Amino acid sequence: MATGRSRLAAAVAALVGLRLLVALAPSEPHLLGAPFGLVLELLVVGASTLSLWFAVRTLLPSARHAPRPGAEPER
Amino acid sequence: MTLAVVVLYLVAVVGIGVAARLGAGGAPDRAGEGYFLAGRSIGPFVLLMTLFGTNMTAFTILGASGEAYRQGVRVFALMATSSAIVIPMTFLVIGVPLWRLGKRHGFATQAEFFEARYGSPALGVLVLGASLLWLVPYVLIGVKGGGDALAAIVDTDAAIPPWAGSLVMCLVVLLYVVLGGMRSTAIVNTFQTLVFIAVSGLAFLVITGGMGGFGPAMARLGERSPELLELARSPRDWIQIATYLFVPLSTSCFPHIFSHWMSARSAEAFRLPVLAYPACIAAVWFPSVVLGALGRLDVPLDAAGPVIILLIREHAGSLLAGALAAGVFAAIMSSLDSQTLAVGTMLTKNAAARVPRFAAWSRGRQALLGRIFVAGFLVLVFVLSLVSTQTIFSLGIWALSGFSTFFPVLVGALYWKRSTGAGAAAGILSGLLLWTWFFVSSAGAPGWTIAETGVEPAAAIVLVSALALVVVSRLTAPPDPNRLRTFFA
Repeated sequence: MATGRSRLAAAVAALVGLRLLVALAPSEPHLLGAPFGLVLELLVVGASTLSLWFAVRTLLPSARHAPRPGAEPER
Repeated sequence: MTLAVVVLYLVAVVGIGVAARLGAGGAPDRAGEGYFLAGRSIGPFVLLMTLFGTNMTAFTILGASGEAYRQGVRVFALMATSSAIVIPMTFLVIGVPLWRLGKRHGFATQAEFFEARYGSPALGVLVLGASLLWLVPYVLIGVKGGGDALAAIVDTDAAIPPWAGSLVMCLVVLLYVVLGGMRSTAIVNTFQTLVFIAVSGLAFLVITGGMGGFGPAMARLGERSPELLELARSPRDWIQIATYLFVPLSTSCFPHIFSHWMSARSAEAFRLPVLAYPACIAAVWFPSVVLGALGRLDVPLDAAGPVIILLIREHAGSLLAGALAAGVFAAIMSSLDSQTLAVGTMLTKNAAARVPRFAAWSRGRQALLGRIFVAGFLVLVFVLSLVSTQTIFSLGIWALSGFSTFFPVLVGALYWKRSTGAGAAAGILSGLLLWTWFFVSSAGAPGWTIAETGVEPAAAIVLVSALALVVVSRLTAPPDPNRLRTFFA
């Protein structure tokens, strides 16, 4: 779990770094009609979902593993 | 036609609220938490819709497009991307642990949590007072904004005064919140959220279609006003985008978000809200920001009224105008109902419960008291909306930054065993003082940054509050180990 949390912290830091870099993106060229910077912003939103998926796997492990025998169900 | 669509929408809202109450009539009310927390039974989809809907306000539809009209697509970078990164992460890192503790200890409000975590009733009072200070003006701008928006949207031959829109909105919310509490609020929020997501998409398709298509319209905007398509035009812009990441932290500190977290059925119910939140943000903010920026093609700078309304008048008929008005009402009411219920819960659990006579009341009578507080609060807010000054509205706009004061204290309470009640109080008070200073220095102007550097006030408030929490906690006696065991088991 500790390794998972370290990886998660690294993933979030990378996401924030990406977010700061993308803010410097130019408006040209246009992709699918949208300015380049705005398209990258949408990609950052997508990357955020990816990082959240990783975070959920790390912080909500009950979604992947059955509870320990005798453990109180989380409901 | 516009007014007819709005009336139809409001009737649907009341019908759904009443049906949700009747549908839950026979459901067991475990621990008497039915009215305030829907018996902690809300599932993933409704939790997503209600959390998202509660965070979306009239600003998302009207204000964001107005900002994009002035600043261009960088508004998306500032507000939408920051929210998509930060808010769902706080659901997971703050919301899930709080839900676990809330279920174990029976918490319904933040003040109850802080009071129990640090064994300090004074801290509970401080949290209650600060929450009300920021929440009341925040609610007020929604109520006033709804009335103004309706007056602007409806056709001139059927014009209604702004106060009438505010009154109708308050009455509708009063009806279903008093009747059904959290259950009706959550189900109605789900409907409202679906409505304004649909309206945003529909408005985008119709207006860009009227402009000759999205790509050609953006190309024309690029030729005429290329600066509106840039994200950061100066180092100051970049600093503002960077420090704006601190602003959405306040979401995890709203009393109404706390209530919704507590209403979740299980920790698993948070999975969908966490994963789907960024997509919901993009679905609403992208159309709003893009349409606002494109408004520069059609709407003159000196035009009166919200840009998106003027665009709809030009490119769509009264049916879509009515749908937009319904969308604006949906965005406002989905926040207003949750905020009102949270105030009713706080006043019942954190204020009235301190009076021995009320504390001895049964759960059913406490729910009745909560309903009275809800009704009283809505009446108060409506009256204030009639007489409020510009200062109160400025306070409402600034309230978001104020709530970020709680963020370091929440993180400390959940993850730092050495944090103390005195440290938490110091964190909140230092943030409150700094917020007051910023508010006075800026004269309440929205968009103000520290010394014109682009640094958002929320960034400084979070850092100063965290510093005060750490320093004072280190200087005071460690917390009681027995109390810690009940929170860190």
